[in-house]
Amino acid sequence: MTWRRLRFVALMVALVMLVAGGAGGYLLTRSERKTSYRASCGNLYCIPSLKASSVVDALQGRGFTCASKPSGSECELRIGNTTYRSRVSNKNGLIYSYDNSVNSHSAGEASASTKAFLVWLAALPFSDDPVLIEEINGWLLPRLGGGADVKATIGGYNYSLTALDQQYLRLAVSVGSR
Amino acid sequence: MNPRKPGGAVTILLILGAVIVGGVLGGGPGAVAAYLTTQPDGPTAPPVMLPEFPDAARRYLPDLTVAGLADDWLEKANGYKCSPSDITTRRSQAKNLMSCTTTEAGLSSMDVDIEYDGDAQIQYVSVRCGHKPGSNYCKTLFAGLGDALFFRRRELAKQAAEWAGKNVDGDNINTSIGGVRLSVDLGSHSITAIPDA
Repeated sequence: MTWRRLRFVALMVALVMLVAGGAGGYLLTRSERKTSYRASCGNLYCIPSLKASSVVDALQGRGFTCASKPSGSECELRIGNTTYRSRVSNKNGLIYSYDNSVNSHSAGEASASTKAFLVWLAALPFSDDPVLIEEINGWLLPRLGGGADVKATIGGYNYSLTALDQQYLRLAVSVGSR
Repeated sequence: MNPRKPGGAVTILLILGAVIVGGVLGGGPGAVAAYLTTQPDGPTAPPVMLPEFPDAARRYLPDLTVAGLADDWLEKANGYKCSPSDITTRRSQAKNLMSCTTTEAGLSSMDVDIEYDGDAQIQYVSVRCGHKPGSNYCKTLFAGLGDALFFRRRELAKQAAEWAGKNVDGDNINTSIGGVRLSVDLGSHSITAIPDA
């Protein structure tokens, strides 16, 4: 093989590797991104693909009254002495945090409605993942009896439950910041 | 060695170098392009709601109408006078307030407030009895509310009437019967009924 031929072969190899490397890097990163638990939304991280409006629509479907705020929507429903609230903060239509509370004015175990409300909200980032839903319910339900404020990271999300006083339960969930 | 011909080691090194340089130059931008253009797969819809999920339909006392309380129980059966009130303060979020009071001489300060949106949309009922603890007027009135609340669900009426009569002079106690939260307060000597969330 002459020098000239070697240079040609090396250039061809480099070109083929350029294309192959590009495709490989693209596909690898893409598959890695697809399975990530958080999406980019502007300068923040958000729940992937779940539209904030679909959550607000679901609450309104149950008769919640929702108001638009600069950072998102605030929904509220009062039944008897119990007030359910949910504040969904969004960027580019995706949710980066949400904050929910049940003010029941009554001691004792959380009602079935309260549990159904908080369990649904806690599962928002994972509605397509039964395993994680089970994990979060296993964390959440025993702690609704009150007595302590607790935090946990589940599926990459930050969960914060305020349950010191059973009459006021608050569940805040955020995706985390960059 | 002929300088016109590269050696075996040089050939291998050069090809290897081409592989690495090409791969790195291609792979880096490829990865960056994927990172910038790909969003992760996530849920496409919120989870399914359980039947117990809070619903505005449960804001109202079940199977109860303003006419049933005001007309049938209070006016016809007990001679009270009922009329819509102008007072705007509410214990609930209801639009309207119906106030009923006894018309019998000497039986002052027995009042019933009904807060409602529509006839079959009662959010709150309160019965206040001005008579002293131990009075049979209050006992009869409270038990009467317990019964009237379950006008259409008779199987629960007896239980509610008994609880209200027995606890007429109780202080700050409550119970839940058939989705209705009954609370007795001695300070105002009142019994209230709201939906149990």
